[in-house]
This record gives sequence, structure tokens and C-alpha cells, in this order.
Amino acid sequence: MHRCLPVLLLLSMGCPPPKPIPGVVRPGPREPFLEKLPGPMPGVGPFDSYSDALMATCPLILSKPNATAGRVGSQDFQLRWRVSSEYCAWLYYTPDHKYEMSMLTDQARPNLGDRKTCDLPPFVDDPRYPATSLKYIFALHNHPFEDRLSDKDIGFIANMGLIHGFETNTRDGNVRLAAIAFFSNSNDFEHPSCDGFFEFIPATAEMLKWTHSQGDWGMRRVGFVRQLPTGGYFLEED
Amino acid sequence: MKKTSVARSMGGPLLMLTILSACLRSPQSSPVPVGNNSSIRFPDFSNRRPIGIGETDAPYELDGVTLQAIMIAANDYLLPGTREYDCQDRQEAQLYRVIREGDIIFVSVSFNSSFCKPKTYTLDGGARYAISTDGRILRRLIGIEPDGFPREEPPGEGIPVPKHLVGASYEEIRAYWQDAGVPDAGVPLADEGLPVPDGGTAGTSRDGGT
Repeated sequence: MHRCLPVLLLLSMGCPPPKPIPGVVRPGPREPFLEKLPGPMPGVGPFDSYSDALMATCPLILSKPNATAGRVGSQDFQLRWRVSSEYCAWLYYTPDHKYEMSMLTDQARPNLGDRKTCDLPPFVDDPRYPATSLKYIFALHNHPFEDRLSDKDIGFIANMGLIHGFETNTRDGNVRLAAIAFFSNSNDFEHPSCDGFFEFIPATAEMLKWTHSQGDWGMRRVGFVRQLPTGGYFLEED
Repeated sequence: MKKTSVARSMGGPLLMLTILSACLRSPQSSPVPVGNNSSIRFPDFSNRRPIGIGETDAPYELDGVTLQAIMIAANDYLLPGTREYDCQDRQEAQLYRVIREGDIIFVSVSFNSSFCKPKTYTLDGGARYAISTDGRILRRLIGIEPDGFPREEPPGEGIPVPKHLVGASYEEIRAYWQDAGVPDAGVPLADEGLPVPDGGTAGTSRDGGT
């Protein structure tokens, strides 16, 4: 009986409010969703290239609480899926020719119970720079397991392209706006490995799968995303 | 006694997860009971071109059970009368895709991002339903929730990428390998390792510069 006491105590206290997570911002109770994300993320970046930023932010996002549920079919996957969370942020380019990551958020609509979503605000507020001087590069988020970008991810980044532009001129040339979904197949949930990410680039309509193993990176084109007259999308696989 | 041994066998972290899972946002009550038949495998709604209503002049005919399934999915996903945060919380702001397999009607519900401009955009939203022809929700998958069956990934190892091109487009990477004298990069080499710019094998010079 005494072994169950902490559990019973916890249950009798009800469910606690969500704990603050370092680097993650969210609206307070009964407050509306954040419509801007603060930036930059303290202690992260700035980065000289978007490649450096991707390689650094992948393990950072996946190490947030319950950011990964492991491999589909592995032991406890269903339970870990149920408690898993998505986190999202922007990677943006500053007038100082650096790439910065915004703070993360895990704000999500409560309509359906355990919906794994992340409501990414369209804008970043970095008080060091005028709002119009920031250039939006990648919408970053995690998938709790290895999965392609969803129709909602595709629709989101296509709309962001209409707001921010589909290409950004940087000191190193043009960079294309993209949506990124990091994943890990690791069962080490404290320090999951960054095993890769899916990327959708609306300017080229490509969906790419990136894999990371033992320090090496590889890429495969999954296919091209096409839009239908009704507004939906489908994937023409390679 | 039995509960104690179960708790012990689950281990501390897993037990905490179990407790936490009970503390997730409480779901809205669905007008129709939601089953969880995990043996149902969902079709892929995104890898084939759907036929959209209005694409041709021909009339579209929908039988009653399909219409019923769409209505059940729509009312479960967004119960009429629930609080609306912005325009994407409306039934008419969704796209509905239907695939019928025998007595099961699969319905996918996802925000139609061309319908309106919401205040914030939800990544990975939507839901998929397996609904019987007699109107029961046999299984519901929320967001990108997997159905538990492995996805058949196409063969091929992909192209090795130097670190300074991580995140670049396919054409940029192909151009990099062509400039390096490896025009067929991306075609896996059977027994010779992966191509690298200097003609060696993978693992010798993969960082490729800044």
C-alpha cells in the first residue's frame, strides 16, 4: 500500500498545471494564443548558416519533454505517443547576416483530447531589430515519431510564403522558405538522437527526407507536393 | 496486491507517464461513441490525387451512408456550437476526403488553408476516421497519430550530403555532386560505399567545407 501512496496522493491532488519548460513560451490560462514568438532563444545561436542551425536545433527540440515517442511499434510507444508533445519555432535571418532561432512554443488547440499539434505564430518579435527587417527561413517543429510532413504543415508553410515570401536573399545567396519536422527513433527519451527530418520547400514543391547517422547526413526526395483546385494537397511520390 | 505488482513491474517513469496521460487536455464529448479497433489499417489519404467536387461538369453522386460518415466525422472533429477561436474552427473550413473499403468508410478531416487566414496556424492538425456503414466510429486517429502498421518506404539510400548543404534543395545537392565529378550521386553503389567529391568513399571527406 505504501508503495502506491505517492501515486494516490498525486491523483487526489488532481492534475497539475503544465510546468514551465526552459525555452518554451505559451499563453497563460484563459489567454489567447500567442500571435508572435519572442526571439532569439537564449543560449542558442546565432548561426552562420542555416545548415549549422538545423544541426544544432534538431537535438535541442527533440530533447524537450516528451518530444519523441520512439519508433512506431516499439515497447510503450502507444503510451509515449499519448503523452508526447510538439514544439515549434522559427529560424530567421537577421540584418546582421546571422540565423537565429526564436523561442519554442507548444501552444495547441484543445478541441480534441490528445491532439498532437503546435500552433506556430506567423511572426517573431526580436526587440533588437525592426519587425520588417527579419526574414523567415524555416518553420521548425518535431514529430513524435518518424513521419512525413502533414497536409497541415504544407498548407501552413504555403500560407507563410504568401506573407513572408518564398525566397529570401541572404549574403550567401537565395534561401528558400521551408517547413521542417525533426524526428528521433531513439528509445533514450532524456537524450534522444537527432535521426533526421522531413523538409517541404514550397518554392520547388519538393518534400525531402533527411537522415542522420553516425555523424553523416543523407537525403532522399520523397516526391513533389501538388495542390488541388479545392485547396488540398497530395504527394506525387518519386 | 495485484495492482502493486503491476505498478512495480511498470517502473517509475512509465507509471508517471501513465498518470500524466490521464492529465492530458480532456477531450470534448463526441456525439457518437469512439471505438478503438486497432486492427483497422488506414489508407494513405495523401499519396493519390483526390477527385474534387467541381473539377468537372459531371454531377457527383454520394450515397447516404457516405454522407452519414462525413457528417459523423465532421461533428466529432468540430462539434457544432463549441467555442470558436478563429475561422479554422468551423466545419466549412475543413477539407473532407473519403475512401471506402468494403463496409468501412475512411474519412480524413483537415483544415483547408485556402479557405481563410487564421490568427495562428496549426501544424499537424486534422483527424482520420474509420466509420462503419451503420454509423459507428470504429477508430479515430488524431493529427499524425500512426495506425500502428509500418509505412512502406520506397527503396534507396538517398544521396550523401556534406554538412554545409544540410537543408538545401535536391537540385543544389545534385549540382554539388556534378561539380565534384559524381553526376550519378543519389544512385546507391552496391559494394563501393557512397560517392564523395574526391572520388574516395564515404567517411573520408563528408564535411565538405563551411
